[in-house]
Amino acid sequence: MTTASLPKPEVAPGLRLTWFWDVPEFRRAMGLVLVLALSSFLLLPLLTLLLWAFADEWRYPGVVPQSASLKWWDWVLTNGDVGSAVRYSFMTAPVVTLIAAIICLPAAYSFSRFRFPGRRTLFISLLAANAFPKIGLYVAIATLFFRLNLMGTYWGVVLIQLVGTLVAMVWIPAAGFDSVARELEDAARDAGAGPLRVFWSITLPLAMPAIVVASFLAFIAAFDEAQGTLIVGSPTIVTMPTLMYTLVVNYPEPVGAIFSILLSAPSVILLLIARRFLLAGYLAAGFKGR
Amino acid sequence: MARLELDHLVKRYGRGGEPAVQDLSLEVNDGEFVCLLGPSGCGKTTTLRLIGGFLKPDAGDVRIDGTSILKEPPERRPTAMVFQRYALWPHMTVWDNIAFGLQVRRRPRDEIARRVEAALELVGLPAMGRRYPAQLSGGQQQRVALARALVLEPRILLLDEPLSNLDAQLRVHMRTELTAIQRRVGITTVFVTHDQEEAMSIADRIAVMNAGVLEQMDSPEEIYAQPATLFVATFIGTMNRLDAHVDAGWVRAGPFVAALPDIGRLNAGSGASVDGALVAGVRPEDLVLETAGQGVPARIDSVVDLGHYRRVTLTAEGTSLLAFVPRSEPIPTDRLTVAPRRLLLYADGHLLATSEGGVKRSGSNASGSTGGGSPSISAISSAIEPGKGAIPLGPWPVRK
Repeated sequence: MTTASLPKPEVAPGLRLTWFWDVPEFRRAMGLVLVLALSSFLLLPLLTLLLWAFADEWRYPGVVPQSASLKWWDWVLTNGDVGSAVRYSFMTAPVVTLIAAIICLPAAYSFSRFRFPGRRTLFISLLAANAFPKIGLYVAIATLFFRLNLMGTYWGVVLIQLVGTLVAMVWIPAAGFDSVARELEDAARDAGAGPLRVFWSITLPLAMPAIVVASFLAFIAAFDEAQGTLIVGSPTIVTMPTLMYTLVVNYPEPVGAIFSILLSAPSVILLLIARRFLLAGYLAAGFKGR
Repeated sequence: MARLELDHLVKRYGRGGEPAVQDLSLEVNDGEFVCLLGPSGCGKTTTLRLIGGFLKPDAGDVRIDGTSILKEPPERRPTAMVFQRYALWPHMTVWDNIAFGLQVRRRPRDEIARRVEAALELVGLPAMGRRYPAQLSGGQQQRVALARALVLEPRILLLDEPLSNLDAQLRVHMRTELTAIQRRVGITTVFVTHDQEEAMSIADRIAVMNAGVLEQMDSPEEIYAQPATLFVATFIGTMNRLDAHVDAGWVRAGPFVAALPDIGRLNAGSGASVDGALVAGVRPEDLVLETAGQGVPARIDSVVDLGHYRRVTLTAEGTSLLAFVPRSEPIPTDRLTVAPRRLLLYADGHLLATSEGGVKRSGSNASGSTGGGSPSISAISSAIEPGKGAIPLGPWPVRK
């Protein structure tokens, strides 16, 4: 018999107050509790929203509504203000995204590919719009817009929504361009393509996932923008998020709930698509840049 | 098919720094396979990028068949490059990768199809056209990169360490395959590598570079046998470095002494003084180990059996030496003497002379020698081929 085969002396369980940490069942149970707590934190408000959307009557002691109905859906979907807000939302957000792309993508490419004085400072300063409470910025811009006769106009709303899209539309595509290895561009030059052809055939397609994701985020940012649109647009231009203020204040809860669901639908759909783009095959499996 | 000339190329990165490439001149003949060999940072990849047009030289010229291509951007140069990490476009299929250059040139569709198929056939991947690069192994990606370069029928093929990302076995295999394809196509090729074995095995000629300077350009055999500089001598293969000096018509190199007949001629020819400190080099396989031979008595420190040869470290008169002894030869243990079969002599880092045979210890009591003078002298002269002099003088240093 060797000493190696001797069992280790056991510590008496009673001596340690935290003995239960070593019980696997306990640890598993704790994990489950944590997951449930987190998901209820995220999902319960959404569930409440759903319940409210289909509630007819929901008073104090009831855990679920006393009666359900679709009448508020009917009201919301046939309401003229809602229709006009949906129309304005879809008139502004895509245009804002497009303009953001036109302004920001060349900037993103420059930040990624060229070294110029003040490059870092400029790149960081894009965050400035997000560094302060937006409402202050918007009020300041509003005084400017008054002078330029942009208050209450379509283009005024587009411009104010543009502010919130700039960071995502520059930073994410810049990272996308960064990830395209210089060698891939060199190889295309070597194969006979001029600089423009290299950009269209190599650089742009490879940075596309990042650009698509950035566009989605810009669209969502514009689509959900409420403060600036409220200040600049109302009362003539009322988009869905600004209408939300009116609806929540003036109508019963189900209306607000239904409208929230309508408002979040495009964001949820776009984020799901964006997620697929982020996980898309060749970026993950392909050429890793230096 | 084409002839490539580099004429006094200079390339500096940044201002005032040491040039990455210094006054580089070399010629690559039509259909020749030349390796640019050197340690990392020696300027070999910079040179390749200067030829490919990705860098602009600060001075000098790059000519193909006598015509300068310096003003041409990369896309207009008749060169094609295979990049170190292949640089295949991950969003295109293999077929599209190879076809890209032809599509840019607006070739007719059926011609593109024919040439892409032929290129895939050439590199041995006929059925892989529809795959994406990420679906291929390293070796296959390498072949696709080669096909992509060759399909454009460039006049010069540039290869930037194309085998360095492959595992050892595949690398040796691709080496043979690469040379076979190069011979079949007959294309003028410049190949950059830091792997001397690779360079020795595939190149027609090797250009050894160090710190931006071309040290020597010669056939692999010549590079190994007559390294023009001390750098080449120690970089290629293994070399025993011995401190040496000239002493009254003799060269004393570590424990060995060799006759140096014509110091005046040496001085006149090289411009370098042979009176100062010299360095002698002896290849480990050029050390002869004998029992009571005419060499210097030595003691064996260690023997490592490496299969086809043995690596012997020994000490002779306080100098430690490395010898490679073939498996077929015994290693004497009793009254061991060591003598160099061949010795290279360097002044200021440049080759001054080589001596073939007959280098041994002076003043040793070698018996059985005949002829006049001290026994050692006769021993030396008897070992030298007649008519060649005591030390057949090697090529004079290449630079003035």
